[in-house]
Amino acid sequence: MLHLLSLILSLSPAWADCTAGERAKSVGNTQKRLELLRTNAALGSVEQTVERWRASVAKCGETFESLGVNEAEVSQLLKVGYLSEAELWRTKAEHYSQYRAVGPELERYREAVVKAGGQPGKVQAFIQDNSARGLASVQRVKRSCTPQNFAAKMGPVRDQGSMGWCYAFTGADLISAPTGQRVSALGGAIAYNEDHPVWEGSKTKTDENGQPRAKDDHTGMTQVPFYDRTGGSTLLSMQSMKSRGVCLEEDLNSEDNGFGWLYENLKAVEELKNSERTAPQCTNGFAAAQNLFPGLQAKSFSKILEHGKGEQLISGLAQAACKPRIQVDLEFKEVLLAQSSKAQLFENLDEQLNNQNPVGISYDPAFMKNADNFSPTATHASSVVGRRYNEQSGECEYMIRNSWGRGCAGYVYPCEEGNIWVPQGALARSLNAVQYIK
Amino acid sequence: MPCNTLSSLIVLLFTLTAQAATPECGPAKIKTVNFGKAAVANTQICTNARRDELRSGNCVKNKCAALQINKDLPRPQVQAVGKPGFQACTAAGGLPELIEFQFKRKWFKLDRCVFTQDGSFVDTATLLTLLN
Repeated sequence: MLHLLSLILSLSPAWADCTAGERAKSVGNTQKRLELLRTNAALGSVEQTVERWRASVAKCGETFESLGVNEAEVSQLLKVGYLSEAELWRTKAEHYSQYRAVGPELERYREAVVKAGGQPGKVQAFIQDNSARGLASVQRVKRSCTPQNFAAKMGPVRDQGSMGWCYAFTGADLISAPTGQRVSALGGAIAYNEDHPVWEGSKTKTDENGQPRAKDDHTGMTQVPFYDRTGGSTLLSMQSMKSRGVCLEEDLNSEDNGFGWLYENLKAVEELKNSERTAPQCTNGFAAAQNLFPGLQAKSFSKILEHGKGEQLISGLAQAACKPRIQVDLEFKEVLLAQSSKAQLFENLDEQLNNQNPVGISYDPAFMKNADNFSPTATHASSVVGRRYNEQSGECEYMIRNSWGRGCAGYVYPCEEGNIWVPQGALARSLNAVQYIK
Repeated sequence: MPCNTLSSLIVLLFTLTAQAATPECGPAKIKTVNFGKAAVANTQICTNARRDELRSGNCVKNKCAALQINKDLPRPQVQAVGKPGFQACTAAGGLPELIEFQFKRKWFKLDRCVFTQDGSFVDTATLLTLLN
């Protein structure tokens, strides 16, 4: 009986294994699959997708022809995919050869060109040029990428937690290094907001007398609370800290850990302004303020609360808590990609690292979680506190001191206590500006 | 080198590698501060060798609210209030907070995202890796 069953199975066509689900997936939605293929072919090779589809169609006893899929169009899509793939590797090779050897990229480029029906001879010059450039980069980097690591000197990484103040954390780190004192990022964010407030709502173009309103006349508008602001300038925050005097971390704690959830705490303090004030000491805001400004006496607090009407209460409290403020005689410099070049950004970065100075960077951090996700837009700020030559990859790496705490999960590059070692070529694709102290 | 010494070394290396990858679970203390008032709670946690990943003891077999979030939540924007891990936590219905935890007598700073359904939690960097 068993032998008979085996015989029947061995004689059954291959598509007898095709389940209903597989049939629906591979044979159904033909037009939708073709559409997806067209989209993907513009991004890279679709060879594997086509092979898998063809195999699953065959498993269900069908062919592209029987499904009405035009083989000529599939061939054309394969070619488009190879051309996209070739362009992708060409771009990568061109970029990375500035920083390291690009043998694997050039090989993938050549393969894609051949598969697309191109002549390898026609791309030989490009391959030779970029291969030579990559090897020259390795020699250059080997000499210039001397080891630097002052992460330990900077202390544990900070954690911006619930706040959008990466720029203030970076600015505070840069000023902390030469002063040797841990500068308050919260103090930096407050100072920056006082100098560069953001207003929302619409203002009338003319005043009650019909005269055009001055640029700084925000009548009818409301100021965005500083704890709700999303980003800012590292350079300007350092300038604001300098002009007002630097506030130290011990007087104004910047991290949530000191007082629970900083965002909620700051809001609670702000709301004291609008409360009845009959018994502020019974409110969350009072408890939060006591913890936010540890050096502030209850008497001073009550006085500021009483007379703080019409001004930012937190600013007033910070002003009273940050005593003494540290006067710093520092000059700040920012180099923007828009006004220079990537090579110049790295020249400045390296020069500062050679002098053991941390450097602020404005960049898009997405590449640290997905290497293929990059753009040179300034969505985030951090400081660079180290450099090393990676013998294995033949590339220079920079240590980014992020302000997202000690957690290292999800980074695609080596991470130690919240400091991430990123390759120069990868950072170059996402770098927008550098800031440092002259 | 004698063969048995070599094999012992291989076994030792393998054991050490396995130890590094396997989280340790056990009793811990977690310190939080809420509106200025510090609180320390005893709990069970699992953490990695570097103590930079954390999950609650009831997440051992991944059957807890903290590890069963909607993986298709939109990825957090960097240009927004709070670090991405905190944003993801809030979007997933959790409460993010910075904490200190004590494990095997040593204290470590980290964060966590707490889910009220079952009190489970996970550090926010790990939470981010759960999103598609």
